[in-house]
Amino acid sequence: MSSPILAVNKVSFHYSPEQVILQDIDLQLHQGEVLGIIGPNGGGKSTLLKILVGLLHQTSGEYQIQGKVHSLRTFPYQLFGYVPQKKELNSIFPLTTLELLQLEKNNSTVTNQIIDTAIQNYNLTSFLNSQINQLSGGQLQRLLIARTLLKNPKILILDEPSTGLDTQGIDQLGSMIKTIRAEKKQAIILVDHNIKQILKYADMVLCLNKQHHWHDKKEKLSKHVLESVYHCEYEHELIHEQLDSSTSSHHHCCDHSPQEVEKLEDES
Amino acid sequence: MSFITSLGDFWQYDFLLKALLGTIALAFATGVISPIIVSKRYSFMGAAVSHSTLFGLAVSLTFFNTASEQIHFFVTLIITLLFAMFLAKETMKKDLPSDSLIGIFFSVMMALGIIIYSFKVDGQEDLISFLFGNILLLTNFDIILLATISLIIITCITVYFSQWVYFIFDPLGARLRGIKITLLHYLLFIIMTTLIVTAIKLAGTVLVTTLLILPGVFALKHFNGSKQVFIYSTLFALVTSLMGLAMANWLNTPSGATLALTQFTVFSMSLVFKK
Repeated sequence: MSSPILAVNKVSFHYSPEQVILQDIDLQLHQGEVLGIIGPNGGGKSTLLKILVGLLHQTSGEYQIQGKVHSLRTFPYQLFGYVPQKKELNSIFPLTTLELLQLEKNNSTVTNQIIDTAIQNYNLTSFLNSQINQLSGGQLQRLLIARTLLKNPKILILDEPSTGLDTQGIDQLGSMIKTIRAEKKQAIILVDHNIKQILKYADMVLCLNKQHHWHDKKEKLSKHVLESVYHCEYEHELIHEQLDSSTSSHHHCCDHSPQEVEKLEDES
Repeated sequence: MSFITSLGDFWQYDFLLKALLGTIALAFATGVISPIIVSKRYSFMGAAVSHSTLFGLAVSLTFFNTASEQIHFFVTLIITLLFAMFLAKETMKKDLPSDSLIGIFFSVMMALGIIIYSFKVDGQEDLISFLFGNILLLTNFDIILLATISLIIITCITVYFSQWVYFIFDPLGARLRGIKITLLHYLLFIIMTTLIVTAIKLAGTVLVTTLLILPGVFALKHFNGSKQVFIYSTLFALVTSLMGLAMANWLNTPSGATLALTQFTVFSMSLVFKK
């Protein structure tokens, strides 16, 4: 297999020794792969993404991009396309859709032709001259993904892209992900509360709750397993406590079957 | 004397010609920088910086017993820049809300300036002139300085226009594209402070804030698109400042106050006509 485009080895992050956000995270991502990340709120998903895109530096561990370790000063931002969950766009400044896309022309690889193609492909024509702060959630999401893809990043990171989208919007997003994957062979990291989305598109799933474990055999994941990780945090943590007390390792197989959850509840 | 006849004064009197040139330079600079200040919600940061110039001025006039206006300018600029850099650092950290910082320093720096100035025994300069501006104080040095600062600001913003727009609209996106937003943040505070200190004699420490805010508010209220906002903000600043100066000369009123009121009147009328 080719060498990974991203390799994270025992990466941890904390603001203080008492406030650990991430501990000993490992992951590898190859070109063309889709990694899904799920986990409860406060589980460290956003922090991990910030480290991956060069907005934060890990407190320990190693993070390699295309086989090289980078500091924030030398970080290869051009390789990444990141659509954050929280859109911190200025609500006063009346920038239009077209202007936002044209700002990317500063990047020498983006031409008018590439922008025109993106406008057609992502169906942006109807609101091209509208102010961005007047767009609907779905229009804004399409625009931000289209903008991110203009510079053809090698790694695309989508943080909860289905938030605020209706069923039609989610379908459009899904077909967008399929197209990106099929045509551009980009590596994609998809963080989503929508478990169906994760199961549909991800090759492997990282369950993150400060520490992490892998469900890299996606076929073994049932909807119940994922829901128990995300929605039934109490049961999930209970299982972890039981398992962690019997083994010292943080890496373990999870059994989230209803019988197991029931058994643990009885015991407690 | 009619309004039209009074316009001839600008060619007849040297001090009025200097005021005219200074006003044009100031209008260009404030017009270009104003949309950034308003969009980034730094309007009152400008007010805090402009009030703190009084502290710098008082220190300079009290402790540097010289008639050299260059020395007074640079001492005031350095002291005000130190204060502005502190504000820039604190707003970047976001530990404290910026309005609290402004609340703390807005009046404290002014009070300090007045106390320090009170120690000056042979007070010749009137501190009130610096509060509200006095075009009679303008010298050739001031005009050259204003023109130079305006040129630097206009160049700085037009050459790096897309970086500034990114910095205003999407700071996170800017960082991910390798744009040095920390550098732009500090640069904004530096050029804003330098402009304020340079414009003290013309507009005054209190009234310069209006000139920094109103053009941007006008353009952001009425126009779509980034380039239009900057162009119409500059046009508004230029037209209203010239109108204000002409009115001040015609009505024999203080220049800074008349400039500010003219801008406000035109802005209010624009809102009425928009309805």
